[in-house]
This record gives sequence, structure tokens and C-alpha cells, in this order.
Amino acid sequence: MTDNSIANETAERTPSVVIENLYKSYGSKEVLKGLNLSVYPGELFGFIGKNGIGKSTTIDCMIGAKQFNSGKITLDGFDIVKEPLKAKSHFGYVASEPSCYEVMTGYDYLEFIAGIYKISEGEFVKNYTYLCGRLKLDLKELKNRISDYSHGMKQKICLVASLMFNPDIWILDEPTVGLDVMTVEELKKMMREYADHGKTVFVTSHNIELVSRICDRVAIINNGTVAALYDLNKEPNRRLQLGKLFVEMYGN
Amino acid sequence: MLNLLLKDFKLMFSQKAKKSEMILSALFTLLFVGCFVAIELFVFTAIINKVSTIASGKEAFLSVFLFVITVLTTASALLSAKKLFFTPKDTELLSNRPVKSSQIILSKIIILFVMQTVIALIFVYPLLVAYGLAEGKTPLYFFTSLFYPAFSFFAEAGIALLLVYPAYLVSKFLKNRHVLKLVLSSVILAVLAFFYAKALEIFVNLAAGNGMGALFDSSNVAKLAKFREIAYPVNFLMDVFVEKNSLSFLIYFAISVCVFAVGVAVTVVAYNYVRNVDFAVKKNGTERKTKVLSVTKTLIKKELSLLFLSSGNIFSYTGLIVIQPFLLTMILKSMNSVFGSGTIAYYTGMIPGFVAFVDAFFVIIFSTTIAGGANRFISTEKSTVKNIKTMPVEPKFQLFIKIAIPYAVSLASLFITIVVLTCTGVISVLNSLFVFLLAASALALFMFASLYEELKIRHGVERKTGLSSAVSLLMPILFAVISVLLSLSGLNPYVCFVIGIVVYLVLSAFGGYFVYRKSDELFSELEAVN
Repeated sequence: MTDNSIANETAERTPSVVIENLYKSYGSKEVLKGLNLSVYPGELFGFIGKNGIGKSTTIDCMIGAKQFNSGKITLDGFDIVKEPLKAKSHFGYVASEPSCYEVMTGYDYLEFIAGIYKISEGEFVKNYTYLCGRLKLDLKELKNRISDYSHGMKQKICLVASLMFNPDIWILDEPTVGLDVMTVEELKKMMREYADHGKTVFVTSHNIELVSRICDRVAIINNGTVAALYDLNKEPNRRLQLGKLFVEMYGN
Repeated sequence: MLNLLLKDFKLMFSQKAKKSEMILSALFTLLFVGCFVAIELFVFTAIINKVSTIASGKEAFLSVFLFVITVLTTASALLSAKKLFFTPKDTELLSNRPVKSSQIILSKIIILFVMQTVIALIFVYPLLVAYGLAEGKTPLYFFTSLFYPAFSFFAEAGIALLLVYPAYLVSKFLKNRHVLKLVLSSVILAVLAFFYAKALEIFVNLAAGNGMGALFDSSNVAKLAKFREIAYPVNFLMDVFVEKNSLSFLIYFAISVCVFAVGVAVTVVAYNYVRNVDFAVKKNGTERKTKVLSVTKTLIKKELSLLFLSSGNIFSYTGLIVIQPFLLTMILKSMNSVFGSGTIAYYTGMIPGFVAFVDAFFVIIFSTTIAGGANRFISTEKSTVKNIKTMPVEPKFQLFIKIAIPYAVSLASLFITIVVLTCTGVISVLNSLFVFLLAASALALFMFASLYEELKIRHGVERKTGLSSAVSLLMPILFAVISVLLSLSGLNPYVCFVIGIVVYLVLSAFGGYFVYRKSDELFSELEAVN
């Protein structure tokens, strides 16, 4: 397949994530100033930027956790403001800090997710068994309270929960924080495989190496907009230069 | 060593709060301590004046006061020691640092000593001063009394350290045994409620004009003097500091240092065991069968988990909701006996329905205050606010479940309370119906007010509790006062009840409609914490 054919195919496909002219401010501080972005099914998209630049804010607006001043966000064609329930049923989300009900046991929490996303009993058992296996989360541990888990285990249970209902879009905000090297490697594989199965993976990370190695496209956010967008499949040399480009952008 | 001391100091006192909030909290603590000491002194001086003519009367009551404070400071030492020695994160943090175990233990004991001595000094020294002034003691007595807390520390901390590991084991055992925890906390609260009711009974008897004289006759004082002989460590410390008996000093010193040494030894062994073995061994759970519920049942299960499995709610809500019938029965029984006897009965008899209004007032106050332990609908979610905002479930429905569960639990407790009150003859059947309807509608209004306050929480903006406080405290007072006035003006008491119920229902309906209309907007404005 030539580069042109890939480009044509991408142009013909309908994007699963569309962010148009997104503005968001906290009081007088403008964080996002007309951000535009499109991410396609089958794509592993990296969203990078320095600390406090607006990566998590963009994700919070995408998932409906925060209101934004103006703009439009659609997920699988559903407007997050106008059709929030439909949009929310299409993505799985993992926060940088584990956010799950710590009074529950691992099983209780996964059952909770299964109930909310209306997963069948059979699919539930199949999915959690598979995902826990992939992330090396011992099923015996699921009987214990989440408050007793280590940080890494809490993050693993959140990762499992985010994929339990096989969402079309998988959104991960700094997912590798607190994970051991083995789990990070497995997570990289999982993200790549998920995208290869035609799903959309949207990931933010400080880890340039992670993004440059596995992502198809990368956007760097600066001054509230997408300052640079690289197609790493078309420009493979950018994979090696990404760190340098990142430093140059913020250095200037 | 200094770093360890600073770390332990932070472990005991550090709070994730703003500076202004910490100053405010410190001021309130000072105010509370000041009020407590003032009341303690007032009661103590009033008593020793009354018993001044009875031989050893003052000493007997001084020993009782000192013993009560010793029990409280020992309990406080136990809690502090448990936090200092058995906080998992602290133990984990120290386990991989190049610090000697002896230094860690010493730093924790120093912090415990400083804390306990300061607490004891605040509560004990004023009593010793008051006693000294009443007895006309020399300046040497007032100077040496300053050392009482330092000496009492060895006995109190010794007992606390002996008990701290068993206490840790008990709390560990109870950690995932929710039913047992609920039963135990209910028993503890019931015992406390019993003592509270007893204290209330003494107070209301005094208010009813029966006087204190009966309490302080020579036979009762003789009993207290006998009690002093066995009240360790107060018996020895009184001999040392009040009677200046040096033999007692030696005996006390030998006993308390032994207890303290054994306590330290047990704690050191337990601390090292927990650090090296307990925290290192992971629990082995077993797989279990899973069950996927419907969305509604799933949300209900989640709310029940947050309400009943959170250890913070055990004493502030779960336990109280269980003992509410018992607590209210005892309180209303005492109140009714006060208002129905003696000179007060003559005055209350002039206001038709007075006792029923007072009963209703207490039922509303207690029901809403206890329900206040479960009204942190949003703040209890903490970081999981993001979860409730991103799940594909209507916000209105989520909020409905959030409010319906604690309301149903509180209503069930209220219903049982009313049944108990009626069966025990504390209130009449007809009155109980009115009181139930009044309290049930007050609870509904309280829930709506609390939900509105919770939905207004924003990043950096704490919950403002003015509205819910007005519903739980101000409105019952207004109800009681207005009902009494209306009744005095000749209105039938039951009409007063009906007016109260209608007002509460109208306000609840308005509150419910208002929150319903605003819920989507307020829910979408809720801020998730990253």
C-alpha cells in the first residue's frame, strides 16, 4: 500500500473523535484557544505537551467531565454536549491517577462497570478474565478491597474497567504513571492491538519514547492549540526526532 | 532524629487544608478546649464548695475528676499510638530508609510524650489549681503540680502501649467484616447513649428542682473516697502531689515505669513484626462468582457501598441510625418526665400540646442531624466525580438514587423510632402519626437542601452548609416556638401539627422541584479533580 493510498483512505474515513474550535478557560486563564483535532478509527493517536499545557483539560472536555466555553466535540458522531449519554457509551477512559471506588472489592468494581455499561454475564466473565490476564492482575486479588491495592494495581483495575465493554474509543490520560516496566510494555502492546482492530486509541503522555514508538500520529499542544501534527507512519524519521522537536518547541 | 520527629509530627497533625482553614480549625479547637476547661472548672468548684464540710470530700471528687481525665487521656494515647506505630504508609515509607528501628521508636515515643503531656496539662492543671486555691496550698504545691502530667504519662502511655497492638489486630480483623463492625459500633454507641441519657437525667432532675443535695451526702462521698483507693494511677499520684507522700512516689514510679517498659517492649516487637512480616504478606483471596445487575440495581449497590462500607461513616451515620430509636426513646422519656413533673409541669400544663411539640422538635433535630452523616452525596465521591460524570446514565437518575438511598434508610430508622416511642408509651399513637409525618417531610427537605449544597461545590470552593443547617436546626426551633405561641393563642395543637406538616411538605416540594430543574446544569458544572 502506497503513502497516497493510505492518505486517501484516511481522508475518506469518518473520524471517530472530532474537536472543533475548542475554547476553555479557568477564570481569566485561557487554556484552550480554538483547538482542532480529528482522530480516525484504527488510529493510535498521541497527544503530548509539557505539564499544565492543557492535555488533561482537553481530555476532560472530550469525556464530558468539564464544561468548555465554546467549540464542538463529537465522539463516534455524537456531540458530547447535545447527546452526552450516547457519546459516553462509546468511550472507555483511564485517568492518570486511579479513580475507582476504593470501598469496593475488585470484583464489585468490575461488576459495577458491567452493570452501568449493560454487559452480558458471559461477556463480562470473558472480558475481565482476558484483561486481567493480559495485565497480570491476579484474579484472587479481585476479592480484596481496592483500598488495599498498590497504586499500580489500582491503575490496572482502572485499565481493565475501561476496556470491559469493548468501547470504540479508548482514551488514556498518562496511563503509565505508577506502572512497572513489564506492565508498561504490555500496555503498549494492548494499545497497538486495539488500534489495529479498528478502534481509536487516544493517549496523552510525558513519555516521548512511548508515544514515538507506538503512535500513528502525534499532536503537540502549545498555546492552547495544536502547534504541530506529525504522521509518524508517513514520516518515520520523526519518531527519532520527536523528543528534539518537543524540546525545541517549548525551548522557543 | 529531628527529621523523624518532624515527620511524626506531620503524621499526627498534618491536614490537607488551606492555611486559612487550618487557622480557623485551630481557633475552633482552642475555643472548644477553653469552653471545656471552663465548664470542667465551674462544675468542679461548685462541687467542692458543696462538699467542703464533709471530711475528704474535696479529695474524693478531685480523684473522680482526675480519674475520668486519665481514662480519656489513656484512650487518646491509644489512638495516637495506633496512628504513630501502625499507619501502613508510614511503615512502608520507613521500611526502605536507612534509619535504625530504635530511632523510629524513640521519635514516636517522644511525640506521644509531648502530645499527652500537653493534653493532660490543659485539662488536669486547672483542676489541681482550683483544688489548691480551695485548700489554701503553698506556692510549692502549684509548682510541683505542673509535673503531674509528665508523671501520669508513664502510667497512661504504658497502658495505651500495652493495648495498641491488640487494638491494631482488632481493627485489622474488623476491616472487611462489615456486619460485625456495624454491630460493635452500635453497641459502643448504645453504651455511650446510655451514659448520655443518664447524665441528661441528672441534669434534667436538677432543672426540675430536685437539687444536687442528694448526690453529695456523706455516704456517697465515702463511696467515692473508697473508689479513690483503687483508681490507678490517680490513687498514687494524689498521694504524691496532694499528700506529698514519698513512699507512694516510689511505689508509683516502680509500677508505672514497669508498665511503661513492658508496653514499649510489646510495641517494639509488634512494630517490627508488622513492618517485616505483616505488611510484606499479601492477602490471598479466592475467586468468587460474579453477577451483573441492572443499571438501577448497580447504582443502588454503589450507593449502599459508599454509605455502609466506608469506615468513616460507621460512627457518624451507620451506628447512629441503628441506635436512633434507643437514643430518642431515652431522651424523650427523660424530657417528658421533666416536663410532666414538679413545678415545670404546672407551667407546661398551661400550653396545650407542649410536650408533643417538644417531642416533635427532638425527633426532627435528631433525625436530620443523624441523616447529616449521609448527606455528602457528591463529596463522598472524591476523585470518582469523573466516573459519575462520564458514565452513560442520566444525571437526574444518578442524583435520584444518591438521595433516595440515604432517605430510605433514614426514613426506616425514623419509622422504627416512632414505633418504639409509641410502644413504650413515650408518645401517644395520634401524636406519633403527626410526629412521623413532620419528621419525614423535614428529612426530605433536608436531603434536597443538602443535595443542592453538594452540587454547588466547586474546585477551591468548599460546601456551604447554611441551608441544610437552617433546615435541620433552625426550622425545628421555629416550629416549636410558633406552635407554642399558636397553642397559647387557643389553636388546637393538632392544627399546629398540620400547619407544620403542610409548611414542610410545601417547602420539600418546592425544594425538590428546584433541585430537579437545576440538577442537569449543576451536575454538568461539577468539577472533576485530576
